[in-house]
Amino acid sequence: MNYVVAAWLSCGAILVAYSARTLRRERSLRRSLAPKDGPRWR
Amino acid sequence: MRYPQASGSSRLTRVLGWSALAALALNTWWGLWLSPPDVVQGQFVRMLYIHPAVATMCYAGFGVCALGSVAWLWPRLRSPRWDRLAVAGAEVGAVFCFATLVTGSIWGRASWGVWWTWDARLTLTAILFALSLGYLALRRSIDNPHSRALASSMVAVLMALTVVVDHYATVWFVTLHQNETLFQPDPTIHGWQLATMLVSFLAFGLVFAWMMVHRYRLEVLEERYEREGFTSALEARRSEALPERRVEVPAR
Amino acid sequence: MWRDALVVAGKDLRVEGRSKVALNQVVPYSLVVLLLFGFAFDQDQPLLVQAAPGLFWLAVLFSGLLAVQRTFSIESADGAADSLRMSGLEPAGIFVGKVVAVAVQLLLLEVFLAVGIVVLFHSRLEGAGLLAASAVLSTTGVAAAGVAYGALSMGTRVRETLLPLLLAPVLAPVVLAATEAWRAALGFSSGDGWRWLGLLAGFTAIYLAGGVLSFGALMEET
Repeated sequence: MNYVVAAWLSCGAILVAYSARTLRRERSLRRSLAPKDGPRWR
Repeated sequence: MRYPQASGSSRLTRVLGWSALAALALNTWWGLWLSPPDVVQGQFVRMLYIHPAVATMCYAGFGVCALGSVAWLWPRLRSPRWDRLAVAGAEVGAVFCFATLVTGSIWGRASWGVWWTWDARLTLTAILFALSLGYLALRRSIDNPHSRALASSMVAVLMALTVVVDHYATVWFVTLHQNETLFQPDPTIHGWQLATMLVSFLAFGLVFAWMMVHRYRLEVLEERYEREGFTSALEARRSEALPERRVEVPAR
Repeated sequence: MWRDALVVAGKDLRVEGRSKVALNQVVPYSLVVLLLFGFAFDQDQPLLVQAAPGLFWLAVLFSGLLAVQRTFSIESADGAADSLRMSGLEPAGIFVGKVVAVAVQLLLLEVFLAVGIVVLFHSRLEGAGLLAASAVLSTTGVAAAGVAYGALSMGTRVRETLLPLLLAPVLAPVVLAATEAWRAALGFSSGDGWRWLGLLAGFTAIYLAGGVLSFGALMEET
């Protein structure tokens, strides 16, 4: 049963880590692009 | 770009994200709790509710990458959208490929006693992962968008071929790996196990879609950033030459 | 196209003939690789004999990487790459020509390496037909994939590290098939060596076709 838990946790960790990384990159890019664009971003 | 600037989410990603989480929760509940242990495999059968779905999403990622690459290569269809789709598919596919290898390795250790074995399916999946790392490295090393798309599309086609051979590896070669469970003429899986497995495909499918949308948007942002960087560098240059005049940054 | 290929192959081989880089650098490198394998296996004789086909093809793979890097580095001096683009030679012909040149150099290297494994690993070479046929096919496959991916990575800033990363997974099946064919020829496995030959032929054909089709676009862009 430990193996099962290890598999589920590792899978979750990988997916969560990648999602966090992608979201973080998005946020930092959006922040650096923001001033120039302003309200046009619709 | 139509989504609000302040947050990273849009209607689409909110819907996808929350339903993915809900489906994952359902998968975990059914997979780890409600569904019964297997007659043959015991508790290890619960790996069935992660590994095949994750592997399928890995294939899906590289499939999307290949589709995007071919579409980009097609003269009349060429557009940056296809290239963005390709890189999103490749990166998300690579993540799922890594997860496939890790979960598969743990399952292998549990049921066969070894973390790795050199059978066709495992080896091909490892090669696929290496290929995807090469694809991503290649993309990072070319700045010109056109050359980058062209070069990576060629690797993408090769990755797609590997996916096909990998998928049929259990049929074409003698392997230790299990054969197709779902699409057999007389499936031996049913009841809770079948239901949970289907839920797992739904759950990871939604996760896949959510990741794809975000990665695609990230690519759009990266492109804007590169363009902006270029434009503002040009402007900086111009205003150096004419210090009295302030040049307006053209709105885009 | 074939005439252009011959022109390019002749040129590349003549450059090698005059500079003797492959002879002076790649051949000794491959010999050192064999020696290192010997040390890694702790000079365990029976093990080395069994492993010899695989080690042979690994040595070919590593040397092949160098040969491919070399075939493109000769173009980077004096704007040779631009001259090649503007020469009016057909890109497919340039591709085939480079593949032939690399393949010829590798085949000669393989003769040397075969002597090496006979001497160092006490291999006994039999089944010459299968050995030679699989060697020709796999060498061509290695050269084709190498020249194609070499063109891809040559335009980048990280070509020295990118090329091996790109090429190694692509060549893994070729190395595998060639090793199995040689193991069958040398009697180490009961498998049908000629089936592996078929697989080799398939891969080689795919890599050659891919390179021929795409080299034109690659030359323009990189």
